[in-house]
Amino acid sequence: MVNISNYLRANWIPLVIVGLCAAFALVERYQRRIYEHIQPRLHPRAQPQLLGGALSGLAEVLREL
Amino acid sequence: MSSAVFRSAYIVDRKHDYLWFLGLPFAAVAFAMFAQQHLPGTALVAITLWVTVPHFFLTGVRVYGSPIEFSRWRERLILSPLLLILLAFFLIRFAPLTLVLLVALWDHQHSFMQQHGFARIYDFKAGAGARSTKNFDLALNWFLFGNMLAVSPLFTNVWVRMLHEWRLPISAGMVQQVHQFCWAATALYALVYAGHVVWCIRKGYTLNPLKYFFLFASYFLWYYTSFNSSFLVGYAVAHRIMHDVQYIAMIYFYNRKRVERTGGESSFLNYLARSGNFKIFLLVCAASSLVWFTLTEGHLRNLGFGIIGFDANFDLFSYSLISSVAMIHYWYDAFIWKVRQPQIRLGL
Repeated sequence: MVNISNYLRANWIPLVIVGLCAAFALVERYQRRIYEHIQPRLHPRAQPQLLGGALSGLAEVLREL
Repeated sequence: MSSAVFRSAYIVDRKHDYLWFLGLPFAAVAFAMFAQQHLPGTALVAITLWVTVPHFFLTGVRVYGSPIEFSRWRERLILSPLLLILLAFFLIRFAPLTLVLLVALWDHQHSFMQQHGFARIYDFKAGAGARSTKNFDLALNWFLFGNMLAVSPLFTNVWVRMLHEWRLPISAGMVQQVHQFCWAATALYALVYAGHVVWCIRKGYTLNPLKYFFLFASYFLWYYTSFNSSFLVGYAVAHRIMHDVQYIAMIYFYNRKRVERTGGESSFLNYLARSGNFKIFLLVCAASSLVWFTLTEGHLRNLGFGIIGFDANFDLFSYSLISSVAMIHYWYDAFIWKVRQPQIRLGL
């Protein structure tokens, strides 16, 4: 007989990480929808890339540094 | 070296410690500096993969290859891989910035915790330090590694870019203030740490000088490469050689010692531990890399008789394995190497 509570107790750290990631994912999706500062994914393996004003803002900071 | 204050003890023995733990970081820095000047980027990526994949794989060999370890951590070893693979898949699909943030932070924490673990083994072997020394060592690692991430030119570019991706733009002036604060906090903690060392000496606790040399070698590698690499891959070559090769060496010697002391827990682990089978051990490591490439690069499609791999989500799934296997490794390492546990000490 599988004891579900044992499994949950033993994996509380990954479960907390899943919960935190869910919260961060909501923030990320909200920010992306409001600011539209990340390029739409062109390929399943493509990394997120900044767009337009956000990209030039970053370039300006890095140039100053 | 043995005196009232200092007592040296090795993780494996003098020869292997100087080769794998104390000398390797300097060789890795020299190689990485040479490689980033003279080798193409694809070669640098290949070098990191050929050492990184086996070190992930050997965690699995250790925990799933031993019936005793498996039954001890059964709930974690069954459920957490499923959780983390699903997490990586959904994040890569719906929230890729969150996945990048999670894996980057966990990878950094995992990196310095490995060096902290080895430092703990040095103290354990020498019977050195007070009960509180492990806490001071842990804090030292947080300060030194965190400072390196915050102030080095290489990682400053990374975290400034990440803040912009999260729409938390930061000005150059603010970045400089962060740098100054981090240097000041680290210097202050260095004084606290030095105070603890002096306190240990005055109270009659011994110190293992090899632990300090090991930490110096590790942080030399991280600071030197993060201040002198133009690209992340230059740092990655040095870091991965140190981190992964030390881990592979640790697993090999840990298994050998465990087999010597307990008679072994499975025929596979016993077979790998035999002194004449080191080449087989390396071949198993190489084979793990090939399996990894097949799974993560989507080549499974070519081996799937046209049945698997043609769904639109397949590329995402195979790609997500890269992050999820890394996370599984970070998570397992957080609980399978506790030096204070007698079962772990059997292999040290």
